[in-house]
Amino acid sequence: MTALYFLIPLALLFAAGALAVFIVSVRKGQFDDLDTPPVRILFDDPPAPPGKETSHVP
Amino acid sequence: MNAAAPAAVSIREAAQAKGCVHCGESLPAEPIQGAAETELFCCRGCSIAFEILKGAGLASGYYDLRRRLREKGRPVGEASGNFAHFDDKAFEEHHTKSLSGEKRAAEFYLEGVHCAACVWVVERLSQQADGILSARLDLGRSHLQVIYDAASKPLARLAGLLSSIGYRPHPLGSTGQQEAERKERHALLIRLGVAGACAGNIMLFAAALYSAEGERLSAAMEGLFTWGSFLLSLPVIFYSARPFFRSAWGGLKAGTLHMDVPVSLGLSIGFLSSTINTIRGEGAIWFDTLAGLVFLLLVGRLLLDTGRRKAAEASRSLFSYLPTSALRIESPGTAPRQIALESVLAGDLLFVPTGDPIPVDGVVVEGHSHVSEALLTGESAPVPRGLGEAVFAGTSVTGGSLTIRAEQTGEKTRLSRLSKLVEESAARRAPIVAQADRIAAWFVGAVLLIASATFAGWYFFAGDPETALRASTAVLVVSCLCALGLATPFSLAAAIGKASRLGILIKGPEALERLAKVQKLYLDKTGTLTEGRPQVVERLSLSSEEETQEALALAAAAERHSTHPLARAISEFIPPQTLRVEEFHQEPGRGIRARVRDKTVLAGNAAWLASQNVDLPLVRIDDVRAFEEKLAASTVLIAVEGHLRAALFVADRLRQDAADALKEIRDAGIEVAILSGDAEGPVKAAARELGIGEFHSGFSPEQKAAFLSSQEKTRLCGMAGDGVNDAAALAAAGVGIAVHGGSEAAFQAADVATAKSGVLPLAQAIFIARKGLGRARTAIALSLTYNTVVTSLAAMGFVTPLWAAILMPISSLSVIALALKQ
Repeated sequence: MTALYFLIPLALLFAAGALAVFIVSVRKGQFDDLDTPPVRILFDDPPAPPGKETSHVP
Repeated sequence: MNAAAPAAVSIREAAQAKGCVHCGESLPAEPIQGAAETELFCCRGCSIAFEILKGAGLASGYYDLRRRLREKGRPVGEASGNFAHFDDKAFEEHHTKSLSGEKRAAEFYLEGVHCAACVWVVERLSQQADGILSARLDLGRSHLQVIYDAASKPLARLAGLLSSIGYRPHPLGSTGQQEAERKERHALLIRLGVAGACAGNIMLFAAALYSAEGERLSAAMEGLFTWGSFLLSLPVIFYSARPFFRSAWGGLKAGTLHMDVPVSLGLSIGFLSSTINTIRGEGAIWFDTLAGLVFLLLVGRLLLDTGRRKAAEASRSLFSYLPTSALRIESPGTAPRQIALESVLAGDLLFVPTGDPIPVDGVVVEGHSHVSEALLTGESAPVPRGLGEAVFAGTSVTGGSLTIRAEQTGEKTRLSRLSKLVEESAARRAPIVAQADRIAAWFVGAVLLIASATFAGWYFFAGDPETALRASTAVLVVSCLCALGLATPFSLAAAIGKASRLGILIKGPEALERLAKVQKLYLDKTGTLTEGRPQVVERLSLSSEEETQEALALAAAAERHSTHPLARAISEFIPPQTLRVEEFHQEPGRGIRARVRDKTVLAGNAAWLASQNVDLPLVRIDDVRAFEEKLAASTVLIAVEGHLRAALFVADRLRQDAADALKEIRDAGIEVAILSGDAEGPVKAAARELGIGEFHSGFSPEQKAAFLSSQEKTRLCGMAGDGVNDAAALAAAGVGIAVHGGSEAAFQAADVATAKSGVLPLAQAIFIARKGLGRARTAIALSLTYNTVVTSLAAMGFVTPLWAAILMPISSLSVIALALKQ
């Protein structure tokens, strides 16, 4: 059982890490707009910059 | 032979320059050759597609349609879109903010954003403008945020580009308020996150403690769990729960008891007694319940906040009616100079050309013009304004131009005050939320009484101070009206969310509640019950079928040259054939005459045909009159070479779903009536067809509004309409519903807006609202029952921390489940 004295603080540390990541993502505005990102993934990639053209697929 | 060869080469060259016949892409060095010399393809796939279309006989039709779509879809450049001042210093100061160095950010509200495709077009196009570093469109709010390089001044270019394809940008006022709201929302989310993370971990400790009950846990282990719970609950109580304490304190100072008071009381007593027991090393600790409570309450708060924010955004877009620049006359006789709106000061002389919106409140000093004040008054007909008369920001000059002296600018204009009013009324709490607050008020008193009685009872009569403390704390903790606080926001938000998935925008809980209680629904006719554009509803053959067919084909070809709404209806009704029209003459208000395929075609009313010496047999004309009356339609008679051949009846057809939807609405016990500005004939015909007994025709916008206000006194009335002329009526009605395809003014004035055409969404909206309100009531009742039962158990001393930990989430979750199940 003594392992708990080590494991519980460790688990709390993980939780604190997750919370910190959450706070950073809120501050960066990742939760500001929940409507657009799900449709944005449907868009094609922007055309490749000139000179780096991909093969022509009709 | 020699002469022919270069010609063949040039045909091929021309074909090559056009690109692939199918997809239009530029051709590779060795294109694929089709059957004919001009049929060149970029790849095998395109040539196969072309062969398939050609084999099916669809090639010419397909490519023709595609070409026409392309021409029709070509962006229409808007002449009024002069955005040069977007690059001014004053604009930069007021509407943009500096990020780093030359990098700046600006935010615009875009008109006409509807779907994912808009996001794609707007973002892709914006990024192509020089100097734009990134562009993100927020679909829900139609906000475009761009980050740009200030040195290359790209904003005017960007605005011109967006406006040319129909997304007219409106800069969003000073970004200070926006920023503050964003910060507030972030803070709320972080509070929620902190509460969630801590509550989860405290519950794990609690689970260990509860499962060890009875058995001996080593003192060290128990200490670890209790002190761990204590430490983790510190951020919850002192950070996450702060808004509740602050609001409760504010309420107490103002002498009102609302929901946050019992919450704060329970939290502080619970936390204090748990802390004391933690230090003592024995007794009940409630940390897990308290943290869970804070978490759930914050979720409810977030939901309410989201609803309120949406309402505020809707009213803010009223500002998009204001121009962003003004033309200042700096010295008499010189041309006016365009300046940013923010630099206009009271006393400035401004020139407003015809068609432009007036930028500030002011007084006319020169000129005379009609001014459309639809936005402010709902009055669609422009009113004349001349020397010395007041004009208001947001109204627009429709004929002639004016020179005005600015009097009120910025936030002091009538429009600003109006939009503030809209925002305030939107932020008002829904009556049912207020009702929950009122219930909470007397509940606080009851809870305090019960807690004291519990303590006194156990202490003095049972002589058990230990149980007295535990039981009275339990009363305070479990009676926190968590479920009650969650019930209404969850049910109303769920109903609003469900409606929005069906394309119905309900602007806030208050609108939802009124929509659910509506007793009588007035409907506008044109555009609401009907399609809103004339269509051929009936065809009457007045000669042999063959002759009629021919006459219709000729007439359709001729009518294609006219822009009259009736002509458009006719050319849409008859399948297109390409017939050459040699001669075309239009007589306004009467009809047309044309020569098509060497025949003279006449189309128009009886008077027009008679004046062109067409014989109109009386029997025929009587037939036509009978039809005309039955259909309440306009008649177009068609004659070929002087002989009457056919009659077409054109009317604004009722929407297909109108009858069914109205039946559903009436079945729900809501009276239905038509309130229209149209003439009596068509209104009566529509009412008859839909089985509506009550109809009012020929109402002006003011009459509509006045009528609704007077009706409003006896019962809650709804009004559904689409046009600018309905805006005042929508605002006057208890519930205004703007129907899809209507004007922006109607959308602003309404409480509810549908994004799908037809009458069915109206019925759906009402049913969703009713169901949502019903759920809210059930949820309130359920949570009150829970609280009564649990509080009495607590007073009797049965509720231990374990029981509280089980009961509290069960009551909250069951209420939430009930609210969401719709």
